[in-house]
Amino acid sequence: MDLMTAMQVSAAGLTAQRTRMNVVSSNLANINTTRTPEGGPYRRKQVIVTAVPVQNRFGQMLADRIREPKVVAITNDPTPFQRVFDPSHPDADDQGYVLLPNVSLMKEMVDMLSATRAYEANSAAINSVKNMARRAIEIGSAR
Amino acid sequence: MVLFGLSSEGLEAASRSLDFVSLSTIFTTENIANADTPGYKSKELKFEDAMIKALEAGNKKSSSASSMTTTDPRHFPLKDLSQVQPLVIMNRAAGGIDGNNVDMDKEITRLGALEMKYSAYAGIAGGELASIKNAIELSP
Repeated sequence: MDLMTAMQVSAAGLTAQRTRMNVVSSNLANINTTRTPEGGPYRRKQVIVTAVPVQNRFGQMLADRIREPKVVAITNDPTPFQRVFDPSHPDADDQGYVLLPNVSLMKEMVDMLSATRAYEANSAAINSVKNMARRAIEIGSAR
Repeated sequence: MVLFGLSSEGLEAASRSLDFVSLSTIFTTENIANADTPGYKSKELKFEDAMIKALEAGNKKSSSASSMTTTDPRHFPLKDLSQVQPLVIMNRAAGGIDGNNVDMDKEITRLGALEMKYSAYAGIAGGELASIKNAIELSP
């Protein structure tokens, strides 16, 4: 158990936050997408994160049950699509309504900010650990 | 720690403290990394009290569990700091709507404090090593 474990956990945090960011980008980019390969409008994607035990290089689990975040799935948001009246739209139905993705701009912006801040926190943690490791290397050298 | 027959309690205490600070850092980075993980509960490590207790127990010339026995009353008791047990505190608070109870401000502050502590203990260890080196070089 050393400082490298702390780095590993923070790195896993960075990965999880970056995945969240990718999903937010995907949702924002597709906020008006009405056609998808699966048919119908784009469904908002969401990230499922769980805490999994850290494994070291030899695959052995650490005794103290240190957990790192891991994205286990990216799922579809089951909430209903928005129904907007726009008869000129090519995908409008008989009554002139178009189904638009269930992406909320506000929600995505909040998610994006939260992911950014969490990413920053993890990156600050890595810097702190790096400073500690550097300080350990300097033990015994001329000061 | 016994080095070339020189015993340095300060070096031992500093190196044990460095171990504990790095373990505590692992806990803190774990909390920060899992700040958005649903259901995750934060934890922290406290070792200072156990450390002080072990050092004080060693000062009293009693045969307590954390000090080594001496064969002569004039011997200084050698403190066995390898037996110091840090305290792991699991935060069981319910937390927010997703069951996560990590307080980011607390964790970041703790990380800063740990960084300073690590630097301080590393400095102490370096100083102890310097004095041992000094003792070695003192001989004509």
